[in-house]
Amino acid sequence: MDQPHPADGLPDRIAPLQGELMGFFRRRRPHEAEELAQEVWLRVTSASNAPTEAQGFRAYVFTVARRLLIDRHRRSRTIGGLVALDGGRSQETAPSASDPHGTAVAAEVLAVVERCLGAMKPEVAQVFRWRATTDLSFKDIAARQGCSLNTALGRQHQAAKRIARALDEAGLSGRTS
Amino acid sequence: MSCPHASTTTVAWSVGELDGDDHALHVAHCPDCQASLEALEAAEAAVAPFAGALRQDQVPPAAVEPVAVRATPARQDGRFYGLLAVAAALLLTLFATQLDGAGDPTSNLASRGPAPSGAPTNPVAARVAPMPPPVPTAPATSLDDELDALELELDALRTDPSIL
Repeated sequence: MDQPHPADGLPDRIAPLQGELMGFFRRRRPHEAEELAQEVWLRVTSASNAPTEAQGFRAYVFTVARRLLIDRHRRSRTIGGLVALDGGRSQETAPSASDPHGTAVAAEVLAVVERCLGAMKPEVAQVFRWRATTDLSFKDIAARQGCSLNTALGRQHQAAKRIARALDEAGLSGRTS
Repeated sequence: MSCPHASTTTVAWSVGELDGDDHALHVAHCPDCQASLEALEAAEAAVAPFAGALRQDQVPPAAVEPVAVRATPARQDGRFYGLLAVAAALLLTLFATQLDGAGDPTSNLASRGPAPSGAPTNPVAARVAPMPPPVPTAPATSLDDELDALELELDALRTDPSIL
């Protein structure tokens, strides 16, 4: 019995997911939703091992989408302006007064993140802070902390999991799928 | 959480530090890795707008690297000019000694015979008075003193290699 090639019938598998994928991106990065969706399809079509069955294909598509989002968040952090919500501790620009609700939500998110980081072991919080504020790779972080690469990765995982849970509990996660 | 990749490989893969479509396939089918990816995405999205505010401490270097250190003492202005004066005096002494092994600069000239008439006399020899014997200095008591002495000798050598 021949296995179907991953590219076989790809447009038919993409079509039913197009709307869901656009919604996924619109909730997260509305201004880039279309571009991000295109990028996902490009990556999926060029992958040699994308699943062929519908359920597996959907999971694969959203896995690629999340990874792309993480990459985009990191890039925008480097390129875009940073918002000062720390009482002037950083030198960044002040939040826009034109969106008081957005500013209030952002302040709340930052407070949750800071509280969460403050409750973590210092070395765990440090990995997360370094990843968030520098371009250090995990290998570099492991070298600076004097631990193994897997330990550094595990600390990031632990920190992210706790922050995501805290944001969820505070109703600030914005995760709807 | 039972998948060993959820806290290691998936984290590295999610930020592009590990390439491979194979891991994407694994993550797509692994609930633990899916949960890990979702948490990472949520945390990244939350902090992306104000990463600067999270900056708290300085990042230390990866490891202590050997740094080339110059073994000469730091020069402070007053001390430097004092050393310069001593070096000048030492040079004059050495120069005079070279002209006259016994300490009389004119005797050296005499041993070479009279100067040709009309030829200018050695202006240095003519002006330099007999030098008193060098005052014995106290032995160097510290590394700094030793380095200072060495530095003076080096300076003198650079100025006039013939003193050897």
